[in-house]
Amino acid sequence: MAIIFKFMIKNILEKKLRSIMIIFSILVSSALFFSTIAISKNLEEMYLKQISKYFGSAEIMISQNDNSPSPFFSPKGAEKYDDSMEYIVGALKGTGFYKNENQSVKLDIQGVDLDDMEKMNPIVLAEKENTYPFNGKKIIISKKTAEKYGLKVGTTMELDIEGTYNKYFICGIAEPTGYFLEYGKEVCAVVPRDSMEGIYGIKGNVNVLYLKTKNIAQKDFFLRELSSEYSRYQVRETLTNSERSTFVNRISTSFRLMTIVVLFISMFIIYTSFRVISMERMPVIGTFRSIGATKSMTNMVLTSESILYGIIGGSLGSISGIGILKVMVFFITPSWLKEANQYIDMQFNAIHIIGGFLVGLSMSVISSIIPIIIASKYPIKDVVLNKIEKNVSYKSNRIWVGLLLWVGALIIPIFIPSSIAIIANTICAVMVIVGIILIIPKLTNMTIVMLQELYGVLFGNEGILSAKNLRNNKNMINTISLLSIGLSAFLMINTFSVSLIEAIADSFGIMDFQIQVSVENADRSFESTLRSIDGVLDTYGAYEAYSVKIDGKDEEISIIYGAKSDKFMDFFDLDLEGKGEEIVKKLDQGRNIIISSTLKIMMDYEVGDVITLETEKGKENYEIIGFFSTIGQEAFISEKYLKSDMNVKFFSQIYIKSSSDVEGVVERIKDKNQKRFPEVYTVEEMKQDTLSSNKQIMSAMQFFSIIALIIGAIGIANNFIVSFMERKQSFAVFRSIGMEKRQVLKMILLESMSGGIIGGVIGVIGGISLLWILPYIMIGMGLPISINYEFGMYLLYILAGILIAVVSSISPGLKTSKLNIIQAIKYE
Amino acid sequence: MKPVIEVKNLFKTYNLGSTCVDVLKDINITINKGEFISIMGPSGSGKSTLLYIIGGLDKPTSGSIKINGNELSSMNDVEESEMRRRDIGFVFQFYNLIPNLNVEENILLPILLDRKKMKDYKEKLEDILGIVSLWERRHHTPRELSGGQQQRVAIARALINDPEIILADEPIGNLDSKTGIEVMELLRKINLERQRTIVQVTHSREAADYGNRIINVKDGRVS
Repeated sequence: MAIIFKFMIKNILEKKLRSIMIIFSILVSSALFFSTIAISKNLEEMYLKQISKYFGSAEIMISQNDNSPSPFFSPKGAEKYDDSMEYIVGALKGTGFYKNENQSVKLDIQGVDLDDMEKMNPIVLAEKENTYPFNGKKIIISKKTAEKYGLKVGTTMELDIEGTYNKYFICGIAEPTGYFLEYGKEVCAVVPRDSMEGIYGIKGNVNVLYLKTKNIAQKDFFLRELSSEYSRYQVRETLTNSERSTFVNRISTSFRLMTIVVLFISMFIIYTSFRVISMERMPVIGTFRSIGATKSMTNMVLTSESILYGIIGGSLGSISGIGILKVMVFFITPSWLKEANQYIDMQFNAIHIIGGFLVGLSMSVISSIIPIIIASKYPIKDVVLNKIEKNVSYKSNRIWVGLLLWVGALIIPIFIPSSIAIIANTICAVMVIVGIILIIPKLTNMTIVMLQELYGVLFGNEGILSAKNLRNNKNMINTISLLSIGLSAFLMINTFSVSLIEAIADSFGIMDFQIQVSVENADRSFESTLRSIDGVLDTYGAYEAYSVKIDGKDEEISIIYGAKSDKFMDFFDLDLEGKGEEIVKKLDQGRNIIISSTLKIMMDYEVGDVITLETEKGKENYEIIGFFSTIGQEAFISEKYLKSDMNVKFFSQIYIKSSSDVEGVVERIKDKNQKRFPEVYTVEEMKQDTLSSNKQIMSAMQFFSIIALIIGAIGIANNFIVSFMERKQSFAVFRSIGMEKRQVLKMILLESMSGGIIGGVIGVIGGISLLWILPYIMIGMGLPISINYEFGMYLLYILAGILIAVVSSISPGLKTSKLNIIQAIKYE
Repeated sequence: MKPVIEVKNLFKTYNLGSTCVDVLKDINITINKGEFISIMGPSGSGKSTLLYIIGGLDKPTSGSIKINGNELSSMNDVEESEMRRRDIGFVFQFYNLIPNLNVEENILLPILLDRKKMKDYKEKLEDILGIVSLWERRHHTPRELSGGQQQRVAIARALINDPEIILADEPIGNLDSKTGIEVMELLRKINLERQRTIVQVTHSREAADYGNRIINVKDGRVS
């Protein structure tokens, strides 16, 4: 055994380059697998960090809705379940305004006991002074606010809270965590609950109640109990599992898909390397067998080699995975969190590390097992006499199986229901890759027949020879396969990124206005004041309803806009297939609805279908009369029905058509309405904010695809080295019968260029096939987008494929052209 | 008679680490047009090295080799390759055919390398396929042929460009005796009917007897 182990170690060290390449492939695969399984945990953490700022660890939240008789209510109804609750925290929320020089700053204020806050959503104080007892006119503000307005702990600030002016003593400055994690222009503050009670003139009541159960399994029970207790208030889960998993899946599925591609490339590299390894070992295996080693013993020599590669690659991969995870987490952390210095602590555990290691190990063993089994099947006499046929013949049924997989993978997604779209269509993507690998040998041979004539004209006889040399050349076929898979993945990710970004940008295209203004209780009189501002050309007071559930479906409509038939077409540019006016008029004629293409695809709706919306008034049926293109889950109904069914009293937004001086108009709106503290955004601003956060995630995915391409390129370079080594004798024959060195080099470069062309074209076709499947996967994620196929760009991908292939072959090509003819010719 | 190969004061030394091995020592040979030369000698005597140096596949340490009056040492890679394509045909012990090319393509290789058009050699190819009796097998790849057939393809390849000289390294070393005789008869026929100069390296006395002159090499010298 010791001898066999020694033999194995020597083998590994002998072919250092190949060993490094195998280990690197395993390393990258393990690392990516590790980071992909760990990223879900990190995404969840990030989501919680973003969303939980409002409610900390609370599981249930009670607040007013449009049916509530008063914004305030007694917590007593909930307190009877005190024994089953970890905490019940009552708070009084409100809005305050702080005047700083000429600027008014709006504050979201929470009146709450600090001890309660500690239980629910702890505040980390960077500075404090007389914080306790936390009562009276005290205030805690964020570090960002303090720095921005030059406020210091121990001083006071004058605030207008709900119309009451008071000076508040700044008793604490909070770090940007939890409630004080401020998004964008948001300014948060905490004041004592008794102080807010004084302002509102109430005692003991609250306007929001947060609860956390002792046993989370009882959450649903208490949701029901509390809903009946507070029947005229909104009782809801703070964070639903489906919301959380939708967020996590949207991002992690893309990473999973890329990891599958990388695993495939790596397995292919290991598989091809082990075919060469097992062939090389044949003479020694023959010797071992001839002196009495059993088949299982000799199999063990090769298997141990793959296990050792797996152990080294898997271990290094798990460690490197931590680095990759760090990069990925950095990419996907929203910039506003980064600006607040709120980086997500990397989340991973032993299971992730062991998982990464095991994937590396099993990938190495699985990929090498077939070549090892093939090698073990050779008769002992042939092994001993080294009479093993080194050329591989490709079974003719491979192409049919490949074609079947490929075509099947393109057809199946059409019939897959969206509930299993992610998993089923991911399998289809894998089928495309397997199909490509199976088709390539035959396709290469067919292409070569065509290229041969063309090459003869373009490159002379060396061109013809290079084309002939590619026939059934297994190394070139491996090279083409690697190049195709790598390019397919790269093209898919890049096109998808561009398409997604364009889809997001397009979703703003339906807004035929420049500015969006929101204030509390915005009504027609506020709209009139806006219209009087210089530069405001027209306004549209928009009634909107949010998160409206569709009866009998898991999904909801994120925003329903109220359409005013007289102005609708001026403010919204919906592609309604030329029937815009007719459809908009129809909106007013009854409970009719226009829904986004996203909802259409997700729910498989058609014009004429009736959907039931769970409105404030109860369940109401709406007939679908049209669709508009956007990636959001949005809809339009008549303003009249929106107001009555959804019980909406005020404008959610006021859209403004502005003169060309948009920034000037924004400033004038802010100036003229200082007292109402309007939130004013330009459409362009909103668009850029959305684009930048999506671009970050796309960068992380592109990082993955570049890794796939790098591994592919390394595999290609190795294949060329192996190919030229194996064909050394043939090259020597060419030289012996009069081929010049430059002819050898020309032939080699033409061969690699041909490989690049074939690999590039198949890669592009493969990439387009994956792009065909991708939207179906995205439907499963609730984000249907249409792909913008950029056919002009595909030529660049083919050129990139040629470049990778040619560059990888230059060094082995030069070496080959200078080979020692006699040594090589006698090599057998 | 016109000399086609002239070897003068040829030395070849191999540096094997710290030691130098003199493989060929002061070789002087002249081979005339139409001769059939057999170079004989024990293993390691330097006979194959001599053949490869004559064919320009290896460089001498010193000395002069002239092929058809042209000094080999003064040729660059392009001229040397051209000489191998046009003036010399090689036949090796292990046939050394290109495995993924068929019989026709293997035979036409020197034509392709000479940047000539294959279609111009159609008649010649048919003629040569007839000489080596491989017409039926012209579309087969080497792995579908027997050893004797492969060696006949190698001979056909050596003939396609009508070279003055054919250099054969153990041409029947890998064949059974019956096939060996067939190949030697073919070489003799080429020598006699086509007036080609043949230089073969062989271990076999029987094969050597097909030549009209035997050069014995022992310990790097012509004895």
